[in-house]
Amino acid sequence: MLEAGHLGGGAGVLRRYKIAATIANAGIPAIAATDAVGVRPATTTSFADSPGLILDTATYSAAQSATHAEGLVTVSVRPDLVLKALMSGAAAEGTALIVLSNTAASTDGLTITDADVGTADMVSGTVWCRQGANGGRSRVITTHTASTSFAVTVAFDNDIAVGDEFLFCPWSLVGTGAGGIDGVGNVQATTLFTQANAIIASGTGGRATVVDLELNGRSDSAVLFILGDHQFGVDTN
Amino acid sequence: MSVALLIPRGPKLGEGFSPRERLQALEHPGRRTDGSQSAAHWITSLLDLRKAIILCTYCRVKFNPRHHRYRKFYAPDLAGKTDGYVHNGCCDNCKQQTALLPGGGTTFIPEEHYSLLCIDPLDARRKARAAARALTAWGRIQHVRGTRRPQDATRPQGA
Repeated sequence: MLEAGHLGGGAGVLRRYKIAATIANAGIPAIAATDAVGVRPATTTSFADSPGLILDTATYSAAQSATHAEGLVTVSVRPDLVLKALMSGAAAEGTALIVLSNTAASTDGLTITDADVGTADMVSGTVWCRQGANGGRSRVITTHTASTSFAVTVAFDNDIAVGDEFLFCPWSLVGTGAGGIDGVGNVQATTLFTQANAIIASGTGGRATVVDLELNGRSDSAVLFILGDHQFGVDTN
Repeated sequence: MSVALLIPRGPKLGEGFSPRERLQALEHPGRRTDGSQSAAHWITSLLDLRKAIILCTYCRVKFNPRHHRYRKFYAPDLAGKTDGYVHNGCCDNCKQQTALLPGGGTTFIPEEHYSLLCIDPLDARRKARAAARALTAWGRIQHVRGTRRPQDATRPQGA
């Protein structure tokens, strides 16, 4: 995940923390450990009590070490830090997003039909057209019929023809967190915690608030978010 | 025989430490200042381990990032207060808080981490301009016309 700036602007603030587990990759959210040894990597589904984004790698060892700097990582700690995560079309990193190829014409511009919509609830996610008369336009998904279709409330500008191609993700920019309006509230990390899993159901994953979506192609779309349960932002205990 | 008595900090006995205080306790102190470690030793250790390096406005001129395959850490400043290359923290050389010094601090990260952490400003600008050009067919035509070189112009017959 990339550091994409801060909502309040200005310079980032970095701190060095001791570690409680090996940090194998730079660019992953940290979480505060419950054992009070140090920070550790986030899990795929939890960014709880996160101090921020880890900028280093480090190897954890409880044994004596002659290298004083080994057991530390640099963390970007501002609570309004905007993280940018590439969308991945699977739980593993670097997987292209799933392409929907419309199989039934929609003359009202409201329905995208393809069995590849899957079964994970995408209501409150976003679907955007990458090829067809609606190229470059996006809409929030309001109805998801499992393995059949997506429907939107605000119609696409043009008819949706057979063969038009769409991409989708489980996030959108506004919502309350309630069922069906939960696309803004969570982000699930991929296996190595460096990207965002775009095929999980809306409203699942670590607590986060989506700030922006970069809706591009299958391998270069990204979600920008701030951590919802930041150590310096929310007093959880 | 000595007895250690542990009394939690806080206004009320038993209140314990807040999550913020616990996190502050996890902060790494950085370079040792008891005389057993020089700044050069500390920074060399960080370089060997490919860690990020934070330097203040006075110390950064002594560091050659290219020599060590490091690069300035960039994050877009959404408010335009800085040029995006300012990050504050404790200077690894002099241990001053860079936010208290004029010009702030600069962070250097290894080249191999750059694509994992930073939005390359040049690449972002290139993509934004390409996206703007690719909006419509008419826009594309206009762009091609606008960037045609003089030598590409059709020469008049007989010239």
